[in-house]
Amino acid sequence: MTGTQFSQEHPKQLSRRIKQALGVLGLISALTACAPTDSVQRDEQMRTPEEKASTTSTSAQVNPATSVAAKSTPAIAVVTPVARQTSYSLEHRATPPPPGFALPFPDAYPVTDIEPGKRGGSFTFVSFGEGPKSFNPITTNESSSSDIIGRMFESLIGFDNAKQTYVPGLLKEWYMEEDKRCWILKLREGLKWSDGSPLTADDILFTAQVIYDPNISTPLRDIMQVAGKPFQFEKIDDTTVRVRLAEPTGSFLALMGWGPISKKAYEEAYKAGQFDTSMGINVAPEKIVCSGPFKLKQYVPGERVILERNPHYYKYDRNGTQLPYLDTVIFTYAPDMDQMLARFTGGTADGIVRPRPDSIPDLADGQTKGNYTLYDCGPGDGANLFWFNLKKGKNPDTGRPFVDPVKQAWFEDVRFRRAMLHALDKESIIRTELRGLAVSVWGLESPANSFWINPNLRKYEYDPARAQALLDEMDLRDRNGDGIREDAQGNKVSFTFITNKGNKVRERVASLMQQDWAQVGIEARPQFLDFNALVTQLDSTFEYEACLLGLGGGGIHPANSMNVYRSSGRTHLFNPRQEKPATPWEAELDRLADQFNATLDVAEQQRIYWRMQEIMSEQLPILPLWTSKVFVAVRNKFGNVKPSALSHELLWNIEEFYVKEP
Amino acid sequence: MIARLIMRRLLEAIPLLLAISLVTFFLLFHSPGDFLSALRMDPKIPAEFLEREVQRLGLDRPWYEVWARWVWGVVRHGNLGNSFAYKIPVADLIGQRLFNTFLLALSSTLFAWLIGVPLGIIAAVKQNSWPDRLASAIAFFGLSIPAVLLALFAIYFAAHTEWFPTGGMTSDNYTQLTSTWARMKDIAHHLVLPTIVLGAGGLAIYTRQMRSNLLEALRADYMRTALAKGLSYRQAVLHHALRNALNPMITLFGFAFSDLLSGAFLVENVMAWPGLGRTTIEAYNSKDMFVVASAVMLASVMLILGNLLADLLLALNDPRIRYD
Repeated sequence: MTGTQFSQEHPKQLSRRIKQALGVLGLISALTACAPTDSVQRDEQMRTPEEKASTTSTSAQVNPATSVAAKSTPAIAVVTPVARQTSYSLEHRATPPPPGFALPFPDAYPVTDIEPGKRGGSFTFVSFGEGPKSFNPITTNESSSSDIIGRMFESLIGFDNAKQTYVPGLLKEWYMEEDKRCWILKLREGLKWSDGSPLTADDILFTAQVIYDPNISTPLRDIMQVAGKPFQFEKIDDTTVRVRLAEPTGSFLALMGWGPISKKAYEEAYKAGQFDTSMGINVAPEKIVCSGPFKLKQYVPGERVILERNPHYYKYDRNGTQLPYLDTVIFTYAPDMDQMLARFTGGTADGIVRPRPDSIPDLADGQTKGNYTLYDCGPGDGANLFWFNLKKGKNPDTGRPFVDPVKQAWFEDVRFRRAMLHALDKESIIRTELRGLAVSVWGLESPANSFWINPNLRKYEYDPARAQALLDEMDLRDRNGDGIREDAQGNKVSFTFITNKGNKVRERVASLMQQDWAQVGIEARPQFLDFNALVTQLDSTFEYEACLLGLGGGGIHPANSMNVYRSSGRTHLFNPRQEKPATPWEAELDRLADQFNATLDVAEQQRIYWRMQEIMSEQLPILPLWTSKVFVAVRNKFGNVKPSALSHELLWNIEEFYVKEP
Repeated sequence: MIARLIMRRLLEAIPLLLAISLVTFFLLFHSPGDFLSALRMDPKIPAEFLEREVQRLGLDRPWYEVWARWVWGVVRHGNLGNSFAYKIPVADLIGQRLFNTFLLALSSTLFAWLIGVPLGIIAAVKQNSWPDRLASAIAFFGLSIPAVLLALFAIYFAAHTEWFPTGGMTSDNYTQLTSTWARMKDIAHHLVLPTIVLGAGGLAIYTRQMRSNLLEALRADYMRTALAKGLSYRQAVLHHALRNALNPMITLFGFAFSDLLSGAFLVENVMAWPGLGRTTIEAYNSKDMFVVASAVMLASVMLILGNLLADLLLALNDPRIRYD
């Protein structure tokens, strides 16, 4: 879960604001409708009948998630969900290459599960924004940069998006020693950096040194810790490293998702205190020494980044052809989502991910003509959440309580929170405003996370009568006949929820939620804030009553989201940074989180994490709403395309893409 | 005289720029959120990292201290600071973008002036003839169509005729173009539509302004005198009426110069021109402090220089104007 969704909204928001200002005439949308690029108006006209049909049909829809769009255009390719596993091994031992592989050196990576392709060709990917901020894999945590960095730098341990499993990367094997605190990492022999120099254990040690340097700005330093202590890296020989941890941990694999950087290329800059800038956007392309399938060829500010084949990449197919197949990958940047779509439909780009929901029907229609396939990858790993502010106390600057204690008393009652969720007709919001392009969820984990999600969580289905009964039970009743409930002291049950502005769909969803709650006699008023102002309220002043927020995706291992569960966590959204847990069930969550880290049995970890989700679902401090589906569109001329709901949705296996024979 | 004028203006500019930068920093610090806002809601980002970043970036210091340090860095070392997001010097970040914006602004200014002024002259000299009506029609459209709509028309036009690219500054194969000439041609090809879109408003204004100025001058007494003493109509217009009519145009030019930076933003955004405006807005949204401050200072400097330039040109054009 990252904040990327918001930052991505800025440019779009801006261009929308401009269009709003001048678009009163409706002329602009008429014009765009004629353009071959984007067609707001036509799209609206087309959808209306289905929209009506879907809202009037009652129980006809077996799977409400099969969207309005999917109904009108059944041609959207649905990506098969990942098969559910029960456990996996933390350790991995090297295996001999499968028969029939002729590898140029023994430790080269034999890629088995692909169609062997031919070398050559180029792939153009378009996204929106200003492009990468840096090519530094250690200090960068921003999506437009990591889209590219992920193609240029290989991880120690890889992750297969299609199978959702950890796979060998630069390491051929990794295992625990007797005491369970030491891990042995074995690099492949014969690995080379893009400049041809050998990639060895020294590079891993150098990278660890950089990460743990307090002068280097990277979150990895605090992530690569167990019990508050950094790992100790020790070189055994040129391809073997021992990692010593303070305590055994079952989350080791999730902590090894980073990749090394070249000691030879960057040690000098690091010692001179210039590590940050040594891989900036203003350095010469050949100065970026990398280990991934592609290396930097050219960067044009605000327009494009061109990557070319890394001639020293270590993966080979069964014909003995070295990967990647493509000669170049071009990342281009459009100022906003409309233009991103225009470049794809106009034919100047080969692939896009996460197009705006209102463009899905047109994208589906254009498939044959544009010779591309639109993939429905299912729900993504982000989530839309609603919570009440349970933080007690006063703002030290103003002396005002964070939340009116009268209201907080209702929010603290689990019956109130359950009633609020029962009163929400999520399915109808999804069918109408979200165009069927989202999936209702009942916990904080997305269905995309097939291994870790607890499938048995309680479903608080739409049931206004049940909601009414719960509120009656709390003695919140309409005492003066105005349609809104009051508590025993006569206080009107009314609250304000904050959400970020500039997102039209979000604004309409907020008003639908307001209506649903009015049905059960609760007055809820949305308040739209600028994103920066919203974060200030959530993270530092805490003066808000409730919040509706969409959090973006990233990282499916529970280690990434423990800060949401732990009462001391900064993103324990409803009551962050507690000194000691406010409730027994939060104390229980803290205990389980510790247990999770300490256990070395993955199946046991899964049970613990399921239990944590269950507590969240029973206590419902956060009302889970829905997760948007991920769509990916890509031209048919490319082979080995395996779109996924997880990041990066399309390019995660770009080294396997090839251009098919016409 | 000219040297004294320049000196005086530059001295006056110093307190003005200081004040503008002070206000910029004040507003940046007092509007909600900071550069780390987007990271604060991310469960993957450890709290310790955020604390270190706040210190490293100096976000825990008072705003006037940050301002004073920045000003000192600029004055003492000519250093505009580092971009928080890009982690490189601001000058490196905005240098390339500034060039792109400048190129677009220059070409659209030339377009507007080289067409607008002659058109206005013809319209005034041949008042109520068909060239005048044509000029009026052009000016009417130029003034009444918002630039964003014109930009959409241009993109639509480009997409249908395929005569021009729909956006951007260079083609995807730009790097494969080996000769400088081919590269210049590629950029020029991309420049045509943004130039027209950005220049259209100015073109309309200059045409109307030139026409009315010249009409007024043509009716002036000195014109009658000039004609009476035997000058040809052509000479009278060029040497007497035109020079008088140009004065207000030069003042307009001073303002237009300062608009070069801010005015181009909309076109940059709609037509995907990789200019400074987009970088500035991105920096503003992410609260990349020194980038925003530098961009604001740049725009202020342009305004001051523009006005100075206009005053100098006025003095050149009209010997009656003196600045002492």
